[in-house]
Amino acid sequence: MNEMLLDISVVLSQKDVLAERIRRRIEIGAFPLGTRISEKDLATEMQVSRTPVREALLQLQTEGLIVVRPRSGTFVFDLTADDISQICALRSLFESGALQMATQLASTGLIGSLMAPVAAAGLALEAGDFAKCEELDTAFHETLVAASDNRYLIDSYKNISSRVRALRSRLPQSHDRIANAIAQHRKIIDLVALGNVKGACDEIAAHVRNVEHLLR
Amino acid sequence: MTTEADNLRLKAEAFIREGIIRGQFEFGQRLSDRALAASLGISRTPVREALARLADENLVVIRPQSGSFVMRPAIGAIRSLCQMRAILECGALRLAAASDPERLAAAVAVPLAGASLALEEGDLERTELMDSAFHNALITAADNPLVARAYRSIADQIDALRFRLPKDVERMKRAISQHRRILDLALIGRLQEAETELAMHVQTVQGLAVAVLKND
Repeated sequence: MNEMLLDISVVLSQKDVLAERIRRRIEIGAFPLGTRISEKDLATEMQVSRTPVREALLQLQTEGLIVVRPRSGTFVFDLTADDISQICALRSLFESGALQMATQLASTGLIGSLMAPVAAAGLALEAGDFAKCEELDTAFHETLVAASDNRYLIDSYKNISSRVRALRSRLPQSHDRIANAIAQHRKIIDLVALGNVKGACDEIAAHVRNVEHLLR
Repeated sequence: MTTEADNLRLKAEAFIREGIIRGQFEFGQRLSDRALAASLGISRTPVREALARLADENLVVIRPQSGSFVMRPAIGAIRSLCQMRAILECGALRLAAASDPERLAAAVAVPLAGASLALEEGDLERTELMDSAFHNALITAADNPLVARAYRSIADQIDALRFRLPKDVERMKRAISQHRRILDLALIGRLQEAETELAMHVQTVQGLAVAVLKND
């Protein structure tokens, strides 16, 4: 907890602020995958000089959100079918691993913390707020990973989480698809509640495979 | 493009990294940039840069106004590290066995044979290196760059633990026969048992590492 407080109190540099703004746009799909990004236009629009924009883009490059092609330009990352299955394989591995670790910790708060975003997503869907549903979907998966209480796992998951979110913006925004995702989340929680960790891990794998299939 | 300065930094980085992994520098030992620069015959700047990089990888801890020190993993951190290792290796084994069991067999056969022969010759140092190579080969066989990247972020810390385990011929013999059994089970299609065996193998190392650190 102390670590989190420290994190927030750190004064963000201009580069960090810009990186966050660009990252956010990529994640919500305002900059679609594969789009060309102009350093100059961004600097003009955000009313800053080009240097911090360049630094921010470099930062996003290390996160895999931005790709720089020599003599061609700067682009939002794009993924081949292979890339997508690699990301999904790692997600599946990390999330089921996190669940195993979390259940070994035997903390009483696990079920409750997983249920909160799913409950909120159910109600957001009733209200027709798809964007909110997506945020809560991300929150469910990130809560799961955080529950592992394993900093190595949490740090490595961060390396892919921005790309996972950006990919999410590509999923069809349909009521049925989201309702289905929420139902799968509920099933994962139900299995955990009944102590069937193996079943819950299989369900996570199926859930991620489902997403992979939709992204192809 | 690598400049002269990069070369010096890389040289210092490799020297300190090897020293930490192989145990020439002990856990918690102070690393003097002056002494390191002198023994490498270079100036202090590249040594400081190397220490900063190694700090990013958690192999070195830099304490302001105090100096640089070799990491000293806490018991809890060892557990987290070994859990993460088990998740990645079991996941890699599953991916590799599902996609191309022949490649898996080819990839691990060399380090497996190398370890057996090194042990016969009584070369315990090389046996440990081959042990490390076996686990790396499992990860490589999964053919997923994201899994490999996540493993790289913990591999040096794991190697550092491995090289500090008691150099005990019986233990190494057992490790090699566990490696063989993991591979046999995976190739014959008894994947679940292979994963369990691998997880237990990692668990054994965890127990030994914790014991070594407690007595340290």
